[in-house]
Amino acid sequence: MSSLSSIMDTALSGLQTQQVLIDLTNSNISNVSTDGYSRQTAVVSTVHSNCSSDSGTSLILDVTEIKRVTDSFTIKRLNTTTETGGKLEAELKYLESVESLFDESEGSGLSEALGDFFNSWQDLANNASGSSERSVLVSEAESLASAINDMYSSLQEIRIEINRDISSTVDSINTLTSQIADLNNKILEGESSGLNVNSYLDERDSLVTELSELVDINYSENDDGQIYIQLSNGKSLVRGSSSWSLDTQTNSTTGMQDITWTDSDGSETVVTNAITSGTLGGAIEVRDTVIPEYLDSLDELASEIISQVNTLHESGYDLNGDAGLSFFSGSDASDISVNTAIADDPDLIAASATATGVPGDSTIAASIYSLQNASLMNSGTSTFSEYYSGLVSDIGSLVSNTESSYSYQSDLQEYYNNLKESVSGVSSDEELANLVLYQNTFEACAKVMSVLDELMETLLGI
Amino acid sequence: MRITNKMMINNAKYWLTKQAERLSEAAAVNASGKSVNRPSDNPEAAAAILQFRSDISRCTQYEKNLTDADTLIEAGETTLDSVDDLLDQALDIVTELSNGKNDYTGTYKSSLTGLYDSIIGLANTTCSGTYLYGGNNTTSASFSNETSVHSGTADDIGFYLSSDADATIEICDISGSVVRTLTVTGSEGANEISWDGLDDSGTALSDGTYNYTVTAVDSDGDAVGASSYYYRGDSESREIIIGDGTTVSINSDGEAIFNDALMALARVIASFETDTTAEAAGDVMDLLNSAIDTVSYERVALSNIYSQVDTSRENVENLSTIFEEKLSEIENGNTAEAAVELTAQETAYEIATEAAAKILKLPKLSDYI
Repeated sequence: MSSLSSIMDTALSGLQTQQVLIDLTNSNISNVSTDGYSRQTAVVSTVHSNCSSDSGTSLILDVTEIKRVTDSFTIKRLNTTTETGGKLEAELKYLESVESLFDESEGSGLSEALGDFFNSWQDLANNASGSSERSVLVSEAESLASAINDMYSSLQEIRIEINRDISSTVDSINTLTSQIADLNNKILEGESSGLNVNSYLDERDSLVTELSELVDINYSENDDGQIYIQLSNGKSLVRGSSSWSLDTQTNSTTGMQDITWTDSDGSETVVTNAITSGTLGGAIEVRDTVIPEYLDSLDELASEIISQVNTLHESGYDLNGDAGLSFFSGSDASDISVNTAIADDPDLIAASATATGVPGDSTIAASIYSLQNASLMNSGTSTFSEYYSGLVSDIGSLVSNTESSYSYQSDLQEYYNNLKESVSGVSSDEELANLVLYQNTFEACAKVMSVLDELMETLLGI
Repeated sequence: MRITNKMMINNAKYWLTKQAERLSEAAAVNASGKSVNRPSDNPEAAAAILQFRSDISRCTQYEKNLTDADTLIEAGETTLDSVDDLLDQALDIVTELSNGKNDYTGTYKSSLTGLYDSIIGLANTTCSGTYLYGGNNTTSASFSNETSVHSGTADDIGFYLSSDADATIEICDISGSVVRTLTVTGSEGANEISWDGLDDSGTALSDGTYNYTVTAVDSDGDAVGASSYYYRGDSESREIIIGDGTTVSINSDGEAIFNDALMALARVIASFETDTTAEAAGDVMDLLNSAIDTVSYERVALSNIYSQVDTSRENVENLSTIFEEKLSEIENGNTAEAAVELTAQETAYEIATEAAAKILKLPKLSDYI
C-alpha cells in the first residue's frame, strides 16, 4: 500500500519530467529553421524507487535518454547523391566555360576564320600576281592562326583556373576532416562523462555531408560512436580523433597539381586518380580528361592544316620564281603561325605550280583552296570545317548531357534532403501539441500535490 | 510521411528556382530571336548552323569568283570588239588598194601602221592590274619590242616574219637613235636571236632598256612582213573556279589571238615597200579575213563562257538562298512556338509563386491556442 510520501514522490517526478519535456520542446521549437538540427525526444520510463521518507517504494518517472531522431540510411543516400551532385555541378561549371569558347552563335570564331582563310586562297587563285590578294591572304592566315592559338590558350587557362580551384578545394577538405576529427574527440569525451552530445552529432553529420560534396569518401561509424572516413582507395582521412590531410604538388610532366596523401610515417602517395567524384573529382575529370581531349583535337586540326598547306605550298613557286617556303610555321594548335618571311613579304606566297608559270599561274593557290572541300580529317571522312563543327556539337552534347544529369541529381538530392527533414526536422505544430499535453500533465501533477497537501492537513488536524 | 514547416518552405524555394530557370530560358529564346544560343541548347543544330554558314561563305566566294569571271569576259569582249573594228578598217583599206587606188599610198601606209599600233595596244590590255593576253605573264606587257642589257649581257630579240627572209634589226636607245644594226637570216614565223649587247663600234652598251625595229627582204629583194612586237607570254589560260569542281578557263594566249592580225597588217605594210601592192592585196585580204575569223571565234568562245557563268551564278544564288533559309529555320526556330512556350512558363512561374505565398501564409497551431 502506498504511503502519502510515496505518492508525493511520484507527483514530484511527474512535475520534474514535464519540465524536462517542456525544455526539450522549447529547444526543438527554437531550432525549427536551424540547418542540420535533428529534433530530440526524451525516453521516459517508469521505475520503482525507494521512498525518500519511509521504507515503502514508489513509482516515479525518469528521463533515461535524450535521443536525436535520425536515419543513417537516408543520410548515407543523401551523402552519395551529394557526392555525384558536387561532381556534376563542378563539371557543368567548367564545361560551360569550355562551351563558351566554341560558341559561334554570333557568327564569328574559328569556323569563320577557317572559311575566310580558304576563300582568300581562292581570291589569290583568281589573280595570282595581285598584291592586295596576297596581303589579304596573309592577314586571313594570321587571323586563322591566332583564332586557333587563342582557343588553345583559353582552354589551357581554364585548366589553370581549375588547377587553382583544386588547391583551394583540397584546403577545404583538410579543414573539414580536422573539424570532424575534433568533433569525434568531443563526442567521445562528452559521452564518457554523460553529457548530451546531440548537437555535436548533428554538426558532424552536416560536416560529413559537406565533405561528401567535395570528394568521394567511404565512412562508417564505430561502436563507440566514432566516425572513420576513407578515400575510395582506402587511404584514411579521419580515424577517431586523428585526421590526415591531403596536399597538392606540381606534376613535373603536366605542370598541373597532383593530390597527395601523406602517411603517418611521412611517405607520400599520389591519389589524384582515386578521386573520381565530388567537386574535386569533377574538377580533375575536366582538367585531366575532357579539356586535354579538346586540346588534342585542336592540335590534330592545326597540324593537318599545317602539313597539307605546307606540302602544297612547298611544291609551288613564289613571285620571284623561287621554290615555296613552308607557309605555316609551328606544328600544332599552340604554335601555329604564318611563316614570318611570308608575312613580311607576301610575294613569297607560292601560287604557281611551276617556275615558268610565275607570275600568272595559280594552280597551287587553287589546290590549297580545294583543301577546304577535301575529307582530310577523321581518317578521310570529314573536311576541316566538318571536323570543327563536330567538336562544337560534341561539347554541346557534353554540356547538355551534364546539365540533364545534374538536374536529375539535384532532384534526387532534394528528395533525400526532404526525406531526412521528414525524419529529423522539427514540426512546430507537433511541438505545440506536445507542449499543450506537457502543460496539462504538469497542471494535473500540481493538482495531485495540492490534494496531497490537503490530505496531510486533514491528518494533522485529527 | 512527416511534413515539417521547413520541408514545405524548402520545396517551395526549390520549385521557384527551377521555374525561374525555365522562364529565363524561354525568355532568352524570345529575346535573342534564336532557338540555339549555345551549342548545348541543341548540339546537332549547332553543328548544322556552322556547316550552313560555311556553305554560305563558300557560295559568297563563288559569287565573287563569278563577278571576277564576268569582269574578265566583259573586258575581253570589249577588247576583241575593238580589234574586230580595226581589222574591218584594214580590210576596207586593202580592198581599196586592190581596186588600184594607189594615189594615197602614204596615207594608207600610215593608217595601217596606226591600226597595227592600236592592235598592239589592245593586245596589251590590262584588267585590274594584270595583262589579259599574256598567259601566265600577267605582270609585264604581253607584246613588246624591247630588249634589255644588264651587266654586259643582252636579252634575246624576238620578231615574226611572214616568210623566210634576211632581217635587219635596228636597236635604238631611249632617245630613239640607232645604236646597233644587226643583220640575220630569219625564217617564217617566230624568230629569237641572241646578240652581244655591243653598239656598232663594238663598245658595250650601258645597262637599260632598248627598243628595236625589224625590216626584212626576201631573196628576190621584195619586202617581207616583219612584226617586231614579240609575244612575251605563254599559252596558258586563266582558270576560275565557279562552283564545286567547276572551272571556266578564259583564253589568254595573246599569240594565238592577235598574231594573225598583226602579221596580216605587217605584211600589208611591207607590201608598200615594193611595187607589188595590187597583186599582194589578194593574199593579204585572205590573211585579214582569217585574222577576223580568229577574233570572231574567240568572241564566240567568250560568249559561251559567259552563258556558263550566268547559269552558274543562278545556281549559286539559288543555293545561297536555300542555305540562308535553312540556316534561319534552324537558328531562329519557330517564333510562334517560342512565344507560346514563354507564356506557358510565365503561367507556371506565377503558379509556383502563388503556391509559395500560400505556404508562407498557412495557419499554424499557435494561431489557435
